[in-house]
Amino acid sequence: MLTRRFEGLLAVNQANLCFKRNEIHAVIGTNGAGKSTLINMLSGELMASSGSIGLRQGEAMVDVSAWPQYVRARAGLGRSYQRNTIFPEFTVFENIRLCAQAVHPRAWVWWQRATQCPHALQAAEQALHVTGLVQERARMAGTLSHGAKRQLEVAMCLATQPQVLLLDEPLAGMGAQESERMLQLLAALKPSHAILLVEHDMDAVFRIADRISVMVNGEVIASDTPALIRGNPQVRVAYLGDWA
Amino acid sequence: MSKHRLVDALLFAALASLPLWASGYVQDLATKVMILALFALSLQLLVGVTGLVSLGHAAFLGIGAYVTVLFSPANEAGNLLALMLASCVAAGAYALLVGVLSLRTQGVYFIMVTLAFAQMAYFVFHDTQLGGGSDGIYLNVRPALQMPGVMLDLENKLTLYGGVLIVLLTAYLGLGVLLRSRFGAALQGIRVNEQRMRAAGFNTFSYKLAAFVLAGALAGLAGFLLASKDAVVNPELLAWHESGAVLLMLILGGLHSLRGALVGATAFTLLKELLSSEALLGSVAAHWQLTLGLSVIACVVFMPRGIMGLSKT
Repeated sequence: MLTRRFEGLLAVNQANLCFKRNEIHAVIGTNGAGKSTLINMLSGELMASSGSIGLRQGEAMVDVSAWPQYVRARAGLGRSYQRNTIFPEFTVFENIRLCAQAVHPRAWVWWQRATQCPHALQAAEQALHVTGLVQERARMAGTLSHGAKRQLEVAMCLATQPQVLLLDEPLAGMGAQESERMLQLLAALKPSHAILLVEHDMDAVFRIADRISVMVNGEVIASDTPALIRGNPQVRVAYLGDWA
Repeated sequence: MSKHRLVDALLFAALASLPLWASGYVQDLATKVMILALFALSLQLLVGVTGLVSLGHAAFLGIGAYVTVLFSPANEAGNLLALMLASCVAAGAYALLVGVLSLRTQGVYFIMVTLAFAQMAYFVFHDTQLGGGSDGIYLNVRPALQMPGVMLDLENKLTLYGGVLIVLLTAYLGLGVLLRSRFGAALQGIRVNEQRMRAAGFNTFSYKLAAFVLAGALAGLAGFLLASKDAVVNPELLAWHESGAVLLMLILGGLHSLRGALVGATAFTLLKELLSSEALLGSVAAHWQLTLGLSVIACVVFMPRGIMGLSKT
Protein backbone atom coordinates (compact mmCIF):
# COMPACT_ATOMS: atom_id res chain seq x y z
CA MET A 1 0.00 0.00 0.00
CA LEU A 2 2.14 2.86 -1.30
CA THR A 3 1.49 6.42 -0.26
CA ARG A 4 3.30 9.63 -1.11
CA ARG A 5 2.41 13.00 0.33
CA PHE A 6 3.64 16.37 -0.94
CA GLU A 7 2.84 18.77 1.88
CA GLY A 8 -0.96 18.46 2.12
CA LEU A 9 -1.43 16.72 -1.23
CA LEU A 10 -1.80 12.95 -1.37
CA ALA A 11 -0.14 12.32 -4.74
CA VAL A 12 -0.48 8.57 -4.42
CA ASN A 13 -2.82 7.14 -1.81
CA GLN A 14 -2.50 3.53 -0.72
CA ALA A 15 -1.82 2.06 -4.12
CA ASN A 16 -1.56 -1.71 -4.08
CA LEU A 17 -0.27 -3.12 -7.34
CA CYS A 18 1.55 -6.19 -8.56
CA PHE A 19 3.70 -6.49 -11.69
CA LYS A 20 4.57 -9.90 -13.13
CA ARG A 21 6.88 -11.20 -15.79
CA ASN A 22 5.13 -11.86 -19.07
CA GLU A 23 2.52 -9.24 -18.33
CA ILE A 24 2.12 -5.70 -19.57
CA HIS A 25 0.44 -3.82 -16.79
CA ALA A 26 -0.82 -0.44 -17.97
CA VAL A 27 -1.56 2.36 -15.53
CA ILE A 28 -3.91 4.97 -16.94
CA GLY A 29 -5.47 8.10 -15.51
CA THR A 30 -5.81 11.82 -16.05
CA ASN A 31 -2.87 14.20 -15.78
CA GLY A 32 -1.96 14.63 -12.13
CA ALA A 33 -3.53 11.32 -11.11
CA GLY A 34 -0.20 10.21 -9.62
CA LYS A 35 1.11 7.91 -12.36
CA SER A 36 4.55 9.46 -12.59
CA THR A 37 4.79 9.72 -8.81
CA LEU A 38 4.06 6.00 -8.68
CA ILE A 39 6.94 5.29 -11.09
CA ASN A 40 9.21 7.63 -9.15
CA MET A 41 8.47 5.72 -5.95
CA LEU A 42 8.99 2.33 -7.53
CA SER A 43 12.30 3.34 -9.11
CA GLY A 44 13.50 5.04 -5.94
CA GLU A 45 13.67 8.59 -7.25
CA LEU A 46 11.16 9.46 -4.53
CA MET A 47 10.87 7.66 -1.25
CA ALA A 48 7.38 6.45 -0.30
CA SER A 49 5.77 8.26 2.64
CA SER A 50 4.44 4.91 3.77
CA GLY A 51 4.09 1.40 2.40
CA SER A 52 6.60 -1.04 0.99
CA ILE A 53 7.96 -2.19 -2.36
CA GLY A 54 8.98 -5.78 -2.91
CA LEU A 55 11.18 -7.05 -5.74
CA ARG A 56 11.60 -10.70 -6.64
CA GLN A 57 15.24 -11.77 -6.51
CA GLY A 58 15.50 -15.39 -7.57
CA GLU A 59 12.94 -17.18 -5.44
CA ALA A 60 12.74 -14.69 -2.60
CA MET A 61 10.77 -11.44 -2.37
CA VAL A 62 13.06 -8.68 -1.12
CA ASP A 63 11.85 -5.46 0.45
CA VAL A 64 13.60 -2.70 -1.49
CA SER A 65 11.69 0.25 0.01
CA ALA A 66 14.74 1.65 1.79
CA TRP A 67 17.18 1.12 -1.10
CA PRO A 68 18.50 4.17 -2.94
CA GLN A 69 17.69 4.49 -6.61
CA TYR A 70 21.01 3.25 -8.00
CA VAL A 71 20.85 0.05 -5.94
CA ARG A 72 17.31 -0.65 -7.16
CA ALA A 73 18.43 0.02 -10.72
CA ARG A 74 21.21 -2.54 -10.37
CA ALA A 75 18.79 -5.01 -8.83
CA GLY A 76 16.75 -4.86 -12.03
CA LEU A 77 14.33 -1.94 -11.81
CA GLY A 78 14.80 -0.03 -15.06
CA ARG A 79 12.89 3.12 -15.92
CA SER A 80 12.39 5.54 -18.76
CA TYR A 81 11.29 9.12 -18.38
CA GLN A 82 8.23 10.97 -19.58
CA ARG A 83 10.27 14.03 -20.49
CA ASN A 84 13.35 13.07 -22.47
CA THR A 85 16.20 12.57 -20.06
CA ILE A 86 19.11 11.78 -22.32
CA PHE A 87 22.70 13.00 -22.72
CA PRO A 88 22.15 15.45 -25.59
CA GLU A 89 25.83 16.18 -26.25
CA PHE A 90 26.85 12.50 -26.53
CA THR A 91 26.27 10.26 -29.54
CA VAL A 92 23.33 7.87 -29.54
CA PHE A 93 25.65 4.93 -29.06
CA GLU A 94 27.50 6.59 -26.18
CA ASN A 95 24.17 7.34 -24.46
CA ILE A 96 23.32 3.66 -24.52
CA ARG A 97 26.84 2.41 -23.80
CA LEU A 98 27.12 4.64 -20.75
CA CYS A 99 23.91 3.20 -19.31
CA ALA A 100 25.12 -0.33 -20.05
CA GLN A 101 28.35 0.48 -18.21
CA ALA A 102 26.36 0.69 -14.96
CA VAL A 103 26.01 -3.09 -15.00
CA HIS A 104 29.80 -3.59 -15.06
CA PRO A 105 31.04 -0.35 -13.53
CA ARG A 106 34.62 -1.36 -12.62
CA ALA A 107 35.45 2.31 -12.09
CA TRP A 108 38.92 1.58 -10.71
CA VAL A 109 40.17 0.25 -14.08
CA TRP A 110 41.32 3.73 -14.99
CA TRP A 111 43.82 2.74 -17.65
CA GLN A 112 41.36 0.91 -19.90
CA ARG A 113 39.17 2.80 -22.33
CA ALA A 114 35.48 2.79 -21.52
CA THR A 115 34.81 1.77 -25.11
CA GLN A 116 36.84 -1.41 -24.65
CA CYS A 117 34.54 -3.05 -22.13
CA PRO A 118 32.99 -5.98 -24.04
CA HIS A 119 30.02 -6.37 -21.66
CA ALA A 120 28.84 -2.81 -22.12
CA LEU A 121 29.47 -2.87 -25.87
CA GLN A 122 27.46 -6.03 -26.31
CA ALA A 123 24.54 -4.82 -24.20
CA ALA A 124 24.59 -1.48 -26.00
CA GLU A 125 24.63 -3.08 -29.47
CA GLN A 126 21.70 -5.23 -28.51
CA ALA A 127 19.66 -2.32 -27.15
CA LEU A 128 20.53 -0.31 -30.27
CA HIS A 129 19.26 -3.08 -32.53
CA VAL A 130 16.01 -3.96 -30.77
CA THR A 131 14.96 -0.31 -30.59
CA GLY A 132 15.79 0.26 -34.25
CA LEU A 133 18.32 3.03 -33.73
CA VAL A 134 21.18 1.44 -35.68
CA GLN A 135 21.05 4.10 -38.41
CA GLU A 136 21.36 6.86 -35.84
CA ARG A 137 24.19 5.43 -33.77
CA ALA A 138 26.77 8.13 -34.52
CA ARG A 139 24.41 11.08 -34.29
CA MET A 140 24.43 13.55 -31.41
CA ALA A 141 21.47 12.51 -29.27
CA GLY A 142 20.31 16.12 -28.95
CA THR A 143 19.73 16.37 -32.71
CA LEU A 144 17.41 13.34 -32.95
CA SER A 145 13.74 13.68 -33.85
CA HIS A 146 11.31 13.54 -30.96
CA GLY A 147 10.22 10.02 -31.78
CA ALA A 148 13.81 8.79 -32.00
CA LYS A 149 14.54 10.36 -28.63
CA ARG A 150 11.67 8.35 -27.16
CA GLN A 151 13.21 5.21 -28.68
CA LEU A 152 16.55 6.18 -27.19
CA GLU A 153 14.93 6.56 -23.76
CA VAL A 154 13.80 2.95 -23.95
CA ALA A 155 17.12 1.76 -25.38
CA MET A 156 18.98 3.36 -22.47
CA CYS A 157 16.67 1.62 -20.05
CA LEU A 158 17.12 -1.76 -21.79
CA ALA A 159 20.90 -1.37 -21.82
CA THR A 160 20.95 -1.77 -18.04
CA GLN A 161 19.39 -5.22 -18.51
CA PRO A 162 16.48 -4.75 -16.11
CA GLN A 163 13.91 -7.38 -15.19
CA VAL A 164 11.20 -4.79 -14.55
CA LEU A 165 10.55 -1.98 -17.04
CA LEU A 166 8.88 1.14 -15.70
CA LEU A 167 7.97 3.05 -18.86
CA ASP A 168 6.59 6.55 -18.49
CA GLU A 169 4.64 7.40 -21.66
CA PRO A 170 6.99 5.82 -24.19
CA LEU A 171 4.57 6.62 -27.05
CA ALA A 172 4.08 10.31 -26.23
CA GLY A 173 4.49 12.45 -29.34
CA MET A 174 5.32 9.53 -31.63
CA GLY A 175 4.02 9.13 -35.17
CA ALA A 176 1.83 6.17 -36.09
CA GLN A 177 4.70 4.18 -37.57
CA GLU A 178 7.01 4.79 -34.63
CA SER A 179 4.24 3.89 -32.20
CA GLU A 180 3.62 0.63 -34.02
CA ARG A 181 7.28 -0.22 -33.81
CA MET A 182 7.41 0.54 -30.10
CA LEU A 183 4.35 -1.61 -29.43
CA GLN A 184 5.95 -4.50 -31.28
CA LEU A 185 9.06 -4.03 -29.19
CA LEU A 186 7.06 -4.08 -25.96
CA ALA A 187 5.32 -7.27 -27.08
CA ALA A 188 8.72 -8.82 -27.81
CA LEU A 189 10.08 -7.78 -24.41
CA LYS A 190 7.04 -9.06 -22.54
CA PRO A 191 8.03 -12.74 -22.07
CA SER A 192 11.27 -11.83 -20.32
CA HIS A 193 10.23 -8.68 -18.43
CA ALA A 194 7.60 -7.36 -16.08
CA ILE A 195 6.38 -4.16 -17.73
CA LEU A 196 4.60 -1.20 -16.18
CA LEU A 197 3.31 1.04 -18.93
CA VAL A 198 2.01 4.51 -18.19
CA GLU A 199 0.35 5.72 -21.38
CA HIS A 200 -2.31 8.12 -22.64
CA ASP A 201 -2.89 6.44 -26.01
CA MET A 202 -5.98 4.39 -25.14
CA ASP A 203 -6.05 2.46 -28.42
CA ALA A 204 -2.53 1.26 -27.78
CA VAL A 205 -3.18 0.50 -24.12
CA PHE A 206 -6.28 -1.59 -24.73
CA ARG A 207 -4.58 -3.42 -27.55
CA ILE A 208 -1.40 -4.42 -25.76
CA ALA A 209 -2.06 -4.44 -22.01
CA ASP A 210 -2.83 -7.66 -20.15
CA ARG A 211 -3.96 -5.77 -17.10
CA ILE A 212 -5.02 -2.17 -16.63
CA SER A 213 -5.09 -0.13 -13.45
CA VAL A 214 -6.93 3.17 -13.36
CA MET A 215 -5.77 6.00 -11.12
CA VAL A 216 -7.89 8.96 -10.11
CA ASN A 217 -6.62 11.62 -7.69
CA GLY A 218 -3.86 9.38 -6.42
CA GLU A 219 -6.05 6.34 -5.85
CA VAL A 220 -6.25 3.16 -7.84
CA ILE A 221 -10.00 2.86 -8.43
CA ALA A 222 -9.84 -0.30 -10.54
CA SER A 223 -7.32 -2.92 -11.59
CA ASP A 224 -8.47 -5.60 -14.01
CA THR A 225 -8.28 -7.09 -17.48
CA PRO A 226 -8.89 -4.67 -20.37
CA ALA A 227 -12.35 -6.12 -21.10
CA LEU A 228 -13.56 -5.66 -17.54
CA ILE A 229 -12.02 -2.18 -17.27
CA ARG A 230 -13.83 -1.16 -20.43
CA GLY A 231 -17.11 -2.24 -18.90
CA ASN A 232 -16.49 -0.74 -15.47
CA PRO A 233 -18.99 2.12 -14.94
CA GLN A 234 -16.82 3.87 -12.35
CA VAL A 235 -13.92 4.03 -14.80
CA ARG A 236 -16.14 5.30 -17.58
CA VAL A 237 -17.33 8.16 -15.43
CA ALA A 238 -13.92 9.02 -14.08
CA TYR A 239 -11.74 8.72 -17.12
CA LEU A 240 -12.70 6.92 -20.27
CA GLY A 241 -15.89 8.84 -20.95
CA ASP A 242 -17.06 8.41 -24.51
CA TRP A 243 -13.96 6.57 -25.61
CA ALA A 244 -14.99 3.09 -24.46
CA MET B 1 48.89 11.97 -35.03
CA SER B 2 46.15 14.58 -34.75
CA LYS B 3 46.80 18.29 -35.08
CA HIS B 4 46.33 18.81 -31.35
CA ARG B 5 48.79 16.05 -30.49
CA LEU B 6 51.36 17.59 -32.83
CA VAL B 7 50.97 20.97 -31.13
CA ASP B 8 51.29 19.21 -27.75
CA ALA B 9 54.51 17.53 -28.83
CA LEU B 10 56.00 20.78 -30.20
CA LEU B 11 55.13 22.64 -27.00
CA PHE B 12 56.66 19.90 -24.92
CA ALA B 13 59.86 20.05 -27.00
CA ALA B 14 59.96 23.82 -26.49
CA LEU B 15 59.44 23.48 -22.74
CA ALA B 16 61.98 20.66 -22.41
CA SER B 17 64.66 22.66 -24.20
CA LEU B 18 63.75 25.98 -22.56
CA PRO B 19 66.61 26.00 -20.01
CA LEU B 20 69.06 25.82 -22.93
CA TRP B 21 67.94 29.01 -24.63
CA ALA B 22 65.95 31.08 -22.14
CA SER B 23 67.08 33.42 -19.39
CA GLY B 24 66.86 32.58 -15.70
CA TYR B 25 63.85 34.90 -15.39
CA VAL B 26 61.98 33.11 -18.16
CA GLN B 27 62.82 29.70 -16.71
CA ASP B 28 61.53 30.83 -13.33
CA LEU B 29 58.34 32.16 -14.89
CA ALA B 30 57.87 28.93 -16.86
CA THR B 31 58.24 26.92 -13.64
CA LYS B 32 55.53 29.02 -12.02
CA VAL B 33 53.25 28.69 -15.04
CA MET B 34 53.63 24.90 -15.05
CA ILE B 35 52.83 24.61 -11.34
CA LEU B 36 49.71 26.74 -11.79
CA ALA B 37 48.83 24.68 -14.87
CA LEU B 38 48.89 21.55 -12.70
CA PHE B 39 46.67 23.34 -10.19
CA ALA B 40 44.24 24.38 -12.94
CA LEU B 41 44.30 20.84 -14.35
CA SER B 42 43.20 19.45 -10.98
CA LEU B 43 40.25 21.85 -10.86
CA GLN B 44 39.31 21.07 -14.46
CA LEU B 45 38.56 17.51 -13.33
CA LEU B 46 35.82 18.97 -11.14
CA VAL B 47 34.55 21.94 -13.16
CA GLY B 48 34.95 20.99 -16.80
CA VAL B 49 34.64 17.23 -16.51
CA THR B 50 32.21 16.53 -13.67
CA GLY B 51 30.38 19.86 -13.64
CA LEU B 52 31.19 20.64 -10.00
CA VAL B 53 32.05 24.33 -9.62
CA SER B 54 34.20 24.54 -6.50
CA LEU B 55 35.19 27.94 -5.12
CA GLY B 56 37.50 26.52 -2.49
CA HIS B 57 40.18 24.76 -4.47
CA ALA B 58 43.04 26.92 -3.19
CA ALA B 59 42.64 25.29 0.24
CA PHE B 60 44.11 22.07 -1.14
CA LEU B 61 46.98 23.90 -2.82
CA GLY B 62 47.73 25.71 0.43
CA ILE B 63 47.53 22.59 2.56
CA GLY B 64 49.98 20.80 0.26
CA ALA B 65 52.35 23.77 0.47
CA TYR B 66 52.10 24.09 4.26
CA VAL B 67 52.61 20.36 4.78
CA THR B 68 55.79 20.53 2.70
CA VAL B 69 57.22 23.31 4.87
CA LEU B 70 55.96 22.05 8.24
CA PHE B 71 57.24 18.51 7.69
CA SER B 72 60.66 19.62 6.44
CA PRO B 73 63.51 19.39 8.97
CA ALA B 74 64.77 22.80 10.15
CA ASN B 75 68.29 22.78 8.79
CA GLU B 76 68.60 20.05 6.22
CA ALA B 77 66.77 18.91 3.11
CA GLY B 78 63.58 16.92 3.64
CA ASN B 79 62.95 13.71 1.72
CA LEU B 80 61.46 14.74 -1.61
CA LEU B 81 59.31 11.64 -2.13
CA ALA B 82 58.02 11.54 1.44
CA LEU B 83 57.08 15.23 1.41
CA MET B 84 55.44 14.94 -1.97
CA LEU B 85 53.38 12.00 -0.76
CA ALA B 86 52.51 13.73 2.53
CA SER B 87 51.29 16.83 0.65
CA CYS B 88 49.03 14.75 -1.60
CA VAL B 89 47.68 12.67 1.28
CA ALA B 90 46.99 15.68 3.52
CA ALA B 91 45.23 17.62 0.76
CA GLY B 92 43.36 14.49 -0.32
CA ALA B 93 42.24 13.82 3.25
CA TYR B 94 40.87 17.34 3.62
CA ALA B 95 39.18 16.94 0.23
CA LEU B 96 37.56 13.75 1.51
CA LEU B 97 36.15 15.59 4.51
CA VAL B 98 34.98 18.57 2.47
CA GLY B 99 33.64 16.32 -0.28
CA VAL B 100 31.60 14.09 2.02
CA LEU B 101 29.85 17.15 3.42
CA SER B 102 29.64 19.44 0.38
CA LEU B 103 28.69 16.93 -2.34
CA ARG B 104 25.27 16.51 -0.77
CA THR B 105 24.47 19.98 -2.05
CA GLN B 106 24.26 21.23 -5.63
CA GLY B 107 24.82 24.30 -7.74
CA VAL B 108 25.22 27.56 -5.87
CA TYR B 109 25.00 25.78 -2.49
CA PHE B 110 27.96 23.61 -3.46
CA ILE B 111 29.91 26.75 -4.37
CA MET B 112 29.14 28.32 -1.00
CA VAL B 113 29.96 25.21 1.05
CA THR B 114 33.32 24.66 -0.69
CA LEU B 115 34.10 28.36 -0.16
CA ALA B 116 33.22 28.06 3.53
CA PHE B 117 35.52 25.07 4.06
CA ALA B 118 38.36 26.84 2.26
CA GLN B 119 37.90 29.92 4.45
CA MET B 120 37.99 27.66 7.51
CA ALA B 121 41.36 26.26 6.44
CA TYR B 122 42.54 29.80 5.63
CA PHE B 123 41.76 31.06 9.11
CA VAL B 124 43.39 28.05 10.78
CA PHE B 125 46.69 29.11 9.21
CA HIS B 126 46.01 32.84 9.45
CA ASP B 127 44.91 33.04 13.08
CA THR B 128 46.97 30.35 14.82
CA GLN B 129 50.70 29.98 15.25
CA LEU B 130 50.63 26.56 13.58
CA GLY B 131 52.17 27.89 10.38
CA GLY B 132 53.63 31.20 11.50
CA GLY B 133 50.33 33.09 11.51
CA SER B 134 49.59 35.71 8.90
CA ASP B 135 53.29 36.11 8.01
CA GLY B 136 53.67 32.48 7.00
CA ILE B 137 56.92 30.54 7.31
CA TYR B 138 60.07 29.99 5.34
CA LEU B 139 61.38 26.72 4.03
CA ASN B 140 65.06 26.80 4.98
CA VAL B 141 66.23 23.99 2.73
CA ARG B 142 64.34 22.72 -0.29
CA PRO B 143 63.49 19.00 -0.47
CA ALA B 144 65.95 16.59 -2.03
CA LEU B 145 66.14 12.94 -2.91
CA GLN B 146 69.34 11.11 -2.03
CA MET B 147 69.59 7.49 -3.00
CA PRO B 148 72.49 5.42 -4.20
CA GLY B 149 73.11 6.57 -7.76
CA VAL B 150 70.41 9.27 -7.64
CA MET B 151 70.78 12.79 -6.40
CA LEU B 152 67.89 15.18 -6.94
CA ASP B 153 68.11 18.47 -5.14
CA LEU B 154 65.35 21.05 -5.68
CA GLU B 155 67.78 23.78 -4.58
CA ASN B 156 69.06 23.33 -8.12
CA LYS B 157 66.79 25.39 -10.39
CA LEU B 158 67.28 23.12 -13.35
CA THR B 159 66.30 20.05 -11.31
CA LEU B 160 63.24 21.87 -10.03
CA TYR B 161 62.29 22.91 -13.55
CA GLY B 162 62.72 19.37 -14.90
CA GLY B 163 60.81 17.88 -11.99
CA VAL B 164 57.86 20.23 -12.42
CA LEU B 165 57.77 19.54 -16.17
CA ILE B 166 57.74 15.76 -15.62
CA VAL B 167 55.02 15.95 -12.94
CA LEU B 168 52.85 18.18 -15.14
CA LEU B 169 53.32 15.93 -18.17
CA THR B 170 52.49 12.81 -16.14
CA ALA B 171 49.37 14.42 -14.67
CA TYR B 172 48.21 15.68 -18.07
CA LEU B 173 48.68 12.35 -19.83
CA GLY B 174 47.35 10.38 -16.84
CA LEU B 175 44.18 12.48 -16.65
CA GLY B 176 43.79 12.11 -20.41
CA VAL B 177 43.75 8.32 -20.02
CA LEU B 178 41.45 8.57 -17.00
CA LEU B 179 38.90 10.62 -18.95
CA ARG B 180 38.59 7.90 -21.58
CA SER B 181 38.12 5.19 -18.94
CA ARG B 182 34.84 4.02 -17.47
CA PHE B 183 35.42 6.32 -14.50
CA GLY B 184 35.94 9.31 -16.79
CA ALA B 185 32.92 8.43 -18.92
CA ALA B 186 30.78 8.26 -15.79
CA LEU B 187 32.04 11.65 -14.55
CA GLN B 188 31.11 13.25 -17.87
CA GLY B 189 27.73 11.55 -17.73
CA ILE B 190 27.20 13.06 -14.29
CA ARG B 191 27.99 16.52 -15.66
CA VAL B 192 25.47 16.21 -18.45
CA ASN B 193 22.66 14.41 -16.61
CA GLU B 194 23.17 13.14 -13.08
CA GLN B 195 19.53 12.08 -12.70
CA ARG B 196 19.85 9.68 -15.60
CA MET B 197 23.12 8.28 -14.25
CA ARG B 198 21.39 7.38 -10.98
CA ALA B 199 18.51 5.83 -12.87
CA ALA B 200 20.97 3.69 -14.83
CA GLY B 201 22.46 2.40 -11.58
CA PHE B 202 25.50 4.59 -10.91
CA ASN B 203 26.26 5.60 -7.34
CA THR B 204 26.91 9.16 -8.46
CA PHE B 205 27.88 10.38 -4.98
CA SER B 206 30.84 7.97 -4.83
CA TYR B 207 31.99 8.98 -8.30
CA LYS B 208 31.86 12.66 -7.43
CA LEU B 209 33.64 12.04 -4.14
CA ALA B 210 36.42 10.09 -5.85
CA ALA B 211 36.87 12.93 -8.36
CA PHE B 212 36.88 15.50 -5.55
CA VAL B 213 39.55 13.65 -3.57
CA LEU B 214 41.69 13.08 -6.66
CA ALA B 215 41.42 16.78 -7.58
CA GLY B 216 42.32 17.75 -4.00
CA ALA B 217 45.36 15.46 -3.95
CA LEU B 218 46.58 16.84 -7.30
CA ALA B 219 46.16 20.39 -6.02
CA GLY B 220 48.20 19.30 -2.97
CA LEU B 221 50.90 18.10 -5.32
CA ALA B 222 50.90 21.52 -6.99
CA GLY B 223 51.19 23.02 -3.49
CA PHE B 224 54.24 20.87 -2.79
CA LEU B 225 55.89 22.13 -5.98
CA LEU B 226 54.97 25.74 -5.23
CA ALA B 227 56.45 25.57 -1.72
CA SER B 228 59.58 23.91 -3.12
CA LYS B 229 59.92 26.68 -5.69
CA ASP B 230 59.21 29.73 -3.52
CA ALA B 231 60.63 28.32 -0.26
CA VAL B 232 57.99 30.28 1.62
CA VAL B 233 54.30 29.81 2.36
CA ASN B 234 51.70 32.17 3.75
CA PRO B 235 47.94 32.01 4.33
CA GLU B 236 47.20 33.98 1.14
CA LEU B 237 47.79 30.75 -0.79
CA LEU B 238 44.50 29.46 0.64
CA ALA B 239 42.59 32.70 0.23
CA TRP B 240 39.35 32.76 -1.73
CA HIS B 241 40.75 35.00 -4.44
CA GLU B 242 43.26 32.26 -5.29
CA SER B 243 40.32 29.89 -5.72
CA GLY B 244 38.70 32.52 -7.90
CA ALA B 245 41.85 33.02 -9.95
CA VAL B 246 42.14 29.33 -10.82
CA LEU B 247 38.47 29.30 -11.87
CA LEU B 248 39.22 32.30 -14.10
CA MET B 249 42.08 30.34 -15.68
CA LEU B 250 39.64 27.59 -16.65
CA ILE B 251 37.09 30.04 -18.01
CA LEU B 252 39.82 31.82 -19.95
CA GLY B 253 41.26 28.61 -21.40
CA GLY B 254 37.99 26.76 -21.98
CA LEU B 255 36.02 24.31 -19.89
CA HIS B 256 35.75 21.50 -22.38
CA SER B 257 39.23 20.03 -22.40
CA LEU B 258 42.27 19.40 -20.24
CA ARG B 259 44.21 21.55 -22.69
CA GLY B 260 41.93 24.44 -21.75
CA ALA B 261 43.31 24.31 -18.21
CA LEU B 262 46.92 24.43 -19.43
CA VAL B 263 46.23 27.21 -21.91
CA GLY B 264 44.20 29.18 -19.39
CA ALA B 265 46.82 28.95 -16.65
CA THR B 266 49.49 30.10 -19.09
CA ALA B 267 47.42 32.96 -20.49
CA PHE B 268 46.29 34.16 -17.07
CA THR B 269 49.77 34.08 -15.52
CA LEU B 270 51.43 35.77 -18.49
CA LEU B 271 48.69 38.40 -18.64
CA LYS B 272 49.15 39.13 -14.94
CA GLU B 273 52.94 39.29 -15.38
CA LEU B 274 52.56 41.65 -18.34
CA LEU B 275 50.01 43.96 -16.75
CA SER B 276 51.95 44.29 -13.50
CA SER B 277 55.27 45.02 -15.23
CA GLU B 278 56.37 48.53 -14.46
CA ALA B 279 59.07 48.36 -17.13
CA LEU B 280 56.41 47.90 -19.81
CA LEU B 281 53.42 49.86 -18.53
CA GLY B 282 54.86 52.42 -16.13
CA SER B 283 52.46 53.75 -13.50
CA VAL B 284 49.51 51.77 -14.93
CA ALA B 285 51.24 48.63 -13.67
CA ALA B 286 50.31 49.54 -10.10
CA HIS B 287 46.66 49.05 -11.04
CA TRP B 288 47.18 45.60 -12.57
CA GLN B 289 44.10 44.18 -10.82
CA LEU B 290 41.91 46.64 -12.70
CA THR B 291 43.51 46.04 -16.08
CA LEU B 292 43.57 42.27 -15.51
CA GLY B 293 39.88 42.28 -14.61
CA LEU B 294 39.01 44.31 -17.72
CA SER B 295 41.10 42.00 -19.90
CA VAL B 296 39.35 38.92 -18.52
CA ILE B 297 35.95 40.52 -19.16
CA ALA B 298 37.00 41.30 -22.73
CA CYS B 299 38.20 37.71 -23.21
CA VAL B 300 34.92 36.28 -21.95
CA VAL B 301 32.93 38.59 -24.23
CA PHE B 302 34.93 37.83 -27.36
CA MET B 303 35.78 34.19 -26.61
CA PRO B 304 32.75 32.74 -24.78
CA ARG B 305 34.13 29.21 -25.12
CA GLY B 306 37.58 30.19 -23.97
CA ILE B 307 40.82 30.25 -25.94
CA MET B 308 40.45 26.56 -26.84
CA GLY B 309 37.00 27.36 -28.25
CA LEU B 310 38.67 29.43 -30.98
CA SER B 311 40.34 26.43 -32.59
CA LYS B 312 37.01 24.70 -33.14
CA THR B 313 35.26 27.39 -35.18
